[in-house]
Parts: sequence; C-alpha cells; structure tokens
Amino acid sequence: MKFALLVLGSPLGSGGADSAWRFADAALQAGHKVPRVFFMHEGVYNANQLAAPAQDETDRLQRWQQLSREHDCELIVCAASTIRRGVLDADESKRQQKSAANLSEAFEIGGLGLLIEATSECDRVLSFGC
Amino acid sequence: MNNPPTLLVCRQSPYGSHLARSGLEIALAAAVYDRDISVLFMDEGVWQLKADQAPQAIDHKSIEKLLASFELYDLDTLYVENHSLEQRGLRADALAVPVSTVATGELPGFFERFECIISC
Repeated sequence: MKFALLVLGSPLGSGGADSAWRFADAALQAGHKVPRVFFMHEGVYNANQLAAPAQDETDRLQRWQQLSREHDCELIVCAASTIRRGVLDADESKRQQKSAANLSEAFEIGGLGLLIEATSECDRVLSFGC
Repeated sequence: MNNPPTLLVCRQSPYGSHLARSGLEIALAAAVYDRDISVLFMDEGVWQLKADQAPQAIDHKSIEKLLASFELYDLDTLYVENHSLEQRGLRADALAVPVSTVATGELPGFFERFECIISC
C-alpha cells in the first residue's frame, strides 16, 4: 500500500512527528511505500538542520534524513508554513533577504499542490497532529 | 489524476494557533486543483464559522474573510456538526457562511461518503 503522511507537529512540541516517523519506518519495513511526507504548520521545524540535540537524545532530523535516503521518500515542507517560520533553503533565504539558511538538504520546499497530489496518488493519507 | 471525494475536518479554534488558517488553505488548494473537496467543522473548529469576528484586536488576519473567499473558488460544500454548535451556543442559521448541518449520529455514514479524509 502507498501512504502519504501529513506532519503538523514540531519535533519536540508534541508526539505527532515522532509517531509519523515510527509509522513511516514500520510501514516501509513491512514492504509498503511512503512516497511523500508533507510537513506543514509547526511540522516544518522538523527540517531545521541547526537543531542540536544533546548527545544522549535521539537525533530526530538524522532519522528523517536516513528514511528519505534509504527509501526514496520525498520530504516536503509547505512553502507558506516554512517561510513564515524561517526554515529556509539558500534560494528562499536570498529571496527573503535573510542572512542564513537552515533547511536540511533532505527536505524540499513545495506548495500545497504536492499534498493534494499525494492524496490522489496514495491509497491512504494519515495526518499526525500537534 | 484520480479525484477521490475528499473531506477536510477542521477541529481547531480560529485563533488559538495558526493551524485553523493552514487547514483552510488546504481546502483552497484542493479547490484550485479542481478536486472534489468538502469541509466539516466540528469541536472547537465550529468557532471558525462565527459571524462578526474581530481578529484585528489580537493581531490576526480574519478567518471569516478567508471563509467568505471560498465561494470564489466554488468551494461551497461546507458542513458543521450540530452537537458541537449546540454545546457552544451557536446556531447554524447565524454563521458567517452558509453551511449544512450533520447530526452526530450521522457522522459514520457521512465519513463513508469520502475516500480521503484529512484532519487538522
């Protein structure tokens, strides 16, 4: 089965993003596909590559990156949500006349059309709240 | 592309966080892509439908205005769950935009009409 995931929560603000990662990991291990994870609202903070967790804590960004790399899973941050919150790639940082970029390279900025597209191309859409 | 009947379930109060607005933006995006989209307001989400909102007092953009723009996108399949309205002393005939009501007991059948349900 093909799953699309919508992640609305930040890495530490709630359990939603953790649950989304666990679901994706379990689904992929069971042979399902997760072609796209869409991060919106506070969920875009999952893409902040400047997050520096303590040594004895789980590196949540690293495990999203690994999931994307190993399973051909697109990680998309909603453009409107991520620009508002200042999680920007180099191009967007320049466009917004900001001095730094902090979007992890495993993620791409995309419009809501990519979420809408995923809802029609996948068998199930799961949203993970905040 | 498939066009499965899709329902967006809005359960967030209008100004408690930014999520109410983001949710409605999903509905608008779906309408722009000519998708078969309906919206159900329930729980705290019914406050999004309240008439005469004055969000400028708390430095927010108006959810009521965003809802009013829905008709420009032919997005008129809006529903509200009755019990959530009653609990909050709101009336279906005195809301910001026209909506159809769904009784709590009808919800299971209502949800079955949709192939894809997105909640926020």
